[in-house]
Amino acid sequence: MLKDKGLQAPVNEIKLMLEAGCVYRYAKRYREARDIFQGVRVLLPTREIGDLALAGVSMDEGKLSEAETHCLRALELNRASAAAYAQLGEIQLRQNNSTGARQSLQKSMEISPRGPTAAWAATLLKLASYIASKG
Amino acid sequence: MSPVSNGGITPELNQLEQAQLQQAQEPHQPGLFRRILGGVAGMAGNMFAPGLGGALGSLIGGGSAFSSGLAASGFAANASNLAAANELLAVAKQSNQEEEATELASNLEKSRHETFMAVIQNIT
Repeated sequence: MLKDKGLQAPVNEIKLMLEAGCVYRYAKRYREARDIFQGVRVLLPTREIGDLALAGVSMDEGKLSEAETHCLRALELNRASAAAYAQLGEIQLRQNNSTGARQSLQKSMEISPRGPTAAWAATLLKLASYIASKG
Repeated sequence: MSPVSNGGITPELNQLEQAQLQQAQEPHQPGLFRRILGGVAGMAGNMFAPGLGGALGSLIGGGSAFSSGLAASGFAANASNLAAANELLAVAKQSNQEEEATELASNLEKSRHETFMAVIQNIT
């Protein structure tokens, strides 16, 4: 059971909600995904996962400013979230802010030099170089 | 009185000697078989080693018009082969770039998904 400000929320159910939200997101059913992730944010107000997931949905919808806001909120909740920095880097890359993107991605790799987040950041850095080479 | 000159050599004999001398001084012309062989070798050479065929054909067949023609056609074929090879190279390069971009996009989706799953699993 989670203990966030006295709220007792079952961990497995929240994980299931998040996974279901991801499935909705991949199926491009953004409204349903957003509803689920907003519910997670209410259940876990001190964790960054809700905002991080909402940032992903907004990014997929092309709402980059909104996605950036969600990412910055996630980073306010957890300054050491490598995933939030990587997500911010991807959003900045889509905003054609390659300098900011590189900084965010390098920060993400500093926090988590190994694992899937590092692989994500490394792929984004490679993509940034690829885009730069294409002019 | 017999026409004797040049120390007793007859004019017929003298003419024969002159003809032999002239034949010896003329540049050597390759035989028909050798010229054809040179041309064929040139074409075959161009098939296996572009650029070598023309030189090989000239070497074997000598400098006759026939072998020169074959060598020229060999060079033309060589230039055409080079153009085709360049075109193929450009297509291969573009294909490689497309493959690289696809791989990059695939890796991006995969690593992003794995990151989200890891974050979800880390909730305690």
